[in-house]
Amino acid sequence: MAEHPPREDLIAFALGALDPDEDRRVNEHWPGCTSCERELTAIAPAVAVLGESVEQLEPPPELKERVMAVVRKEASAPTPEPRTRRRPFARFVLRPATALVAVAVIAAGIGGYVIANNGGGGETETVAVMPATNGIGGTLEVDEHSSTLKLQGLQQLTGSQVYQTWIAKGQSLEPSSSFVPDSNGTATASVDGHLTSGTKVMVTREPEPGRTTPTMPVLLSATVD
Amino acid sequence: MTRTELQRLADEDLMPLVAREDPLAFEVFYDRHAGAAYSLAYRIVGNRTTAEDVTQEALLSIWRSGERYDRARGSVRAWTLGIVRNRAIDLLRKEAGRSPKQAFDSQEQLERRPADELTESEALRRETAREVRGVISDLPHDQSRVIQLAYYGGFSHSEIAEMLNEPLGTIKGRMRLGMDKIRAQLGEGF
Repeated sequence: MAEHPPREDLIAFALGALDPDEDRRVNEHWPGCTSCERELTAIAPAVAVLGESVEQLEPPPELKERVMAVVRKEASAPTPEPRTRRRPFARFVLRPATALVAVAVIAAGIGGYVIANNGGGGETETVAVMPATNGIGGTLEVDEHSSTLKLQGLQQLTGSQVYQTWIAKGQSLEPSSSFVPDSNGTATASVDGHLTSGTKVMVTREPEPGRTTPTMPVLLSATVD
Repeated sequence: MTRTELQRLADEDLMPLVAREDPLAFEVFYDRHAGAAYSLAYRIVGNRTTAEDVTQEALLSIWRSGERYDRARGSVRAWTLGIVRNRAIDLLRKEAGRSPKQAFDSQEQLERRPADELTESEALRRETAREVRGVISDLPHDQSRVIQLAYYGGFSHSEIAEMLNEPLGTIKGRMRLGMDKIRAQLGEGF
C-alpha cells in the first residue's frame, strides 16, 4: 500500500480540493487503510455541514413537476422483455482495458474524446459475452431502448465508491448508471438509450456517485462493431 | 404503503423503496431534500436556471440508481448533497472561463416566502442552516475563505494558493485549521 497521505491532504480530499493526480493517489490509497478511513469518517460531518449551511431557498414548483413527471413515466414503463435474441451480424466485444490504456482513454476523454465509428448504425438486439479476464467478466445485453450490463468478479467497494458506466459516442462522453456489486462481486446495471454502431460503453470505479467525467481508470469497455 | 406511512419513515428506510422504483417514496424523498439540494446548487452555480438543471440531474440520478445509498456511508442528506455538489462543480469546471460564485448570497437574491407560510419542516430546515452557517462564520476569515473557495467554488488547494498569492502550505494549513474548528464545534453541538 502506498504511503499515507498527509492529514492536510486527507482534509483537502474530503473537501474535493486536491489536484487530479493527488486526488487519484489518495483515492487509490484510503480504501482499506484503517487510519485514513478513520480520519475521513471523522471529517465527513464537518464537510456535510458546508452543504447544509447555505441560505435555504424554495425550489420552484415546476422543478418538482418536471422531476416527478420523469419519475412517474419511468416507473410505469414496462420492464423490458428478456433479452435472449441474438443477431450474429451485430456484435459487441466487451474487453478488459489495461491500466495504461485506460489512463490514455480517460485523458483523451477529457481533452476531446474520439472513438472509431464503424458506420452502420442499424438497430441491434444482441447478447454479448465477455470471457472473464483478471477475474472480471460479464455480458452486455442490448435492446433497442435500453441495455443491461451484467458483471461478475468485481472488487468490493468501500466508503462512497460506486462503479460508474459511461457512454461515449463521437465527441460526447456521458455518465449512465452507477452500481454497487453484491457481496459475491456480481452486479446488474442498466444502460439507457439506443446504442448504435460506434458507441462505447465503459465502466470505472469512482470515489462517489454523481461524477460527470471519469476520474479513475477504465476497467471494462465495449464498442459496437 | 400510503403517503402518510412513507412520510413517517426515516430516510434510511425510505431509500430501499426508492431503489425499488416506488414513485411515491421518491416524492417523499424529493419533498425532504430537494430544497436543500436546490439551495446548495444555487450557492455553487449562482444562477436559478442552472441550479434547477443541476438539482434535476442529481435527483434523477438518485432515482435511477437508488440502490447506491448505503447507510454505512452517512446520512441520506449528506449523500444527496455530495451528489449535488459534484454535479454543480463539474458543470462549473466544464464551462471554461466561468467563475464560481464566491460570496454568500445577499438577502435580496433569495426567494423567500413570508414566515407564516413556511411549513414546519421548511422553517426547521432554514433554522438548522442558520445555525450551521454560524459555525462557519465564526471561523477566522482567512480560514473560512479557503474552505469556501474549495467547497463551493470547486478550486483545488493549489489553485487557491495561486489565486490568493499565498504558499500552498499556508492554504493547506488554513484549510486544516478551519475544518478542525468546524469539527470541534459540531462535537460541542454548536
